[in-house]
Amino acid sequence: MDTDEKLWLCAQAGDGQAFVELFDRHYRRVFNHSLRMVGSKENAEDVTATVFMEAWRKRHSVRMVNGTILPWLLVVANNTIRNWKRASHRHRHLLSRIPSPEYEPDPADEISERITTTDTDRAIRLSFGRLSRRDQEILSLCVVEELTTAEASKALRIPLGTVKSRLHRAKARLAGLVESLSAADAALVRSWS
Amino acid sequence: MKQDDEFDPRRLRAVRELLVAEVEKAGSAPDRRPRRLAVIGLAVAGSLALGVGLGASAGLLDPPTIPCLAECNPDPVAVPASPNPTAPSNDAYARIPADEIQFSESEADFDGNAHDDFLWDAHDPYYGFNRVPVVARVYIDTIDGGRIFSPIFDQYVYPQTVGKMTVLEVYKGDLKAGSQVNYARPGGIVTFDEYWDSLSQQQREKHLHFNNGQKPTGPKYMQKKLMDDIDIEAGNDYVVLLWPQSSKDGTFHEYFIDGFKFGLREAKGLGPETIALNNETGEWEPLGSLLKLP
Repeated sequence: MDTDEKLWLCAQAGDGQAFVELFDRHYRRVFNHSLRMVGSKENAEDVTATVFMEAWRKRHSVRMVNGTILPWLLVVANNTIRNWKRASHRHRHLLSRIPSPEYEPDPADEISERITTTDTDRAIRLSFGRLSRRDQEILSLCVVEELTTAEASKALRIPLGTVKSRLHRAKARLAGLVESLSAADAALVRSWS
Repeated sequence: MKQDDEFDPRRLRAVRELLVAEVEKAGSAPDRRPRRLAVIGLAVAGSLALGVGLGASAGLLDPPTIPCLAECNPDPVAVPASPNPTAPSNDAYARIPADEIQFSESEADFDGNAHDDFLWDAHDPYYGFNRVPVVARVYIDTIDGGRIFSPIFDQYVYPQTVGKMTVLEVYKGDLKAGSQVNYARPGGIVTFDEYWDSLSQQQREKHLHFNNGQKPTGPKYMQKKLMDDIDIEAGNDYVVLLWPQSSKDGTFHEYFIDGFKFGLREAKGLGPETIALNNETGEWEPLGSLLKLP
């Protein structure tokens, strides 16, 4: 299997299929990441498409981290979500060529959510949504997406010490918010390595 | 926080086709981009911190060491005729071609207290209200573009976004509801040539070093913004923190929107029902949580 670096070089040389291979390799992680941040499947799909268009637009500033483009894509996803409205304007002529979603609301989803989502999940999700974007960003990269602090440091282009201190503060703030809901759940958040 | 939703297969196919087309289209076009642009975010952040800390009037953000060049054009950047027919006509930025913009964020930390050299006191909800002379609800009529040379201070500044806004309601200070006024806000898109002209010799040498001694030939535009800041959007209502400011000769007047994401709060609702968006938490809050209402 070709490495991300090789595919990326091929894409930059004009090989569209190489870029699609990169897309296929990473879109699920970008989509799930976006879904957590924007909360709607339709919007997460639009954001994912925009992320790869933005990645192509910013192709000269792409950073590979330990041979993979994924951490950089996740950072682009965070930036895209933050500026989604304007980024969408820029890519609207392309996005308009993506067919509209045809979702049928399924009441089973809601019921399933009620049954399977634990109180802890709900408390953390609620509290996560109340964090600042910067806290959400560092937690989503280092905890949810399980990047190491060194990888996050390279992807965000900030010093390792800054990543660690931001992560520490973000976890403390999340724990504080969760604590207002449940002391046991807050202890769980604090225990995240 | 697991999510099990799947990307719609029909839309997925369409995205793949679009990406192939974009790559192949670019592959047949000449490359106008630089090999590398030096990032000067930290240096600019230092200037920002200094500017905000010393902002005696109008939330001054100008790097004081950058010399004034009298021949510079103070007008907003000239934006090309729209290549995107769906772009809104009142937002000049939306008409700039996407692949012509180089993005650069400047690092800053809002988390502490202002007296500890942070940019803002995020712990005091009334810090902004107490700090500025004018607080109002406004409607952003236009985003006219970006500028890097300030006609107010007659020198280069951190790139700003400028445009026109209509005053809807005034909560503090001397401003007339119903009037349309100019605004400026830190963070903006300027042409790369304007940006290059604004650099000190030392900053230019950094760029040259990363580009084999050549001035980068592209991209055409440079976007600078403070990390975690939000973008102003035409067609929105905001509660804003304002500093009135005028050019030295008194011929040009504008209001500087202070406080980054703390000073530009999207608003909705009417009168006492007005609520404002907290850009940190994403929650809508009553006005009393950020303004001292009578």
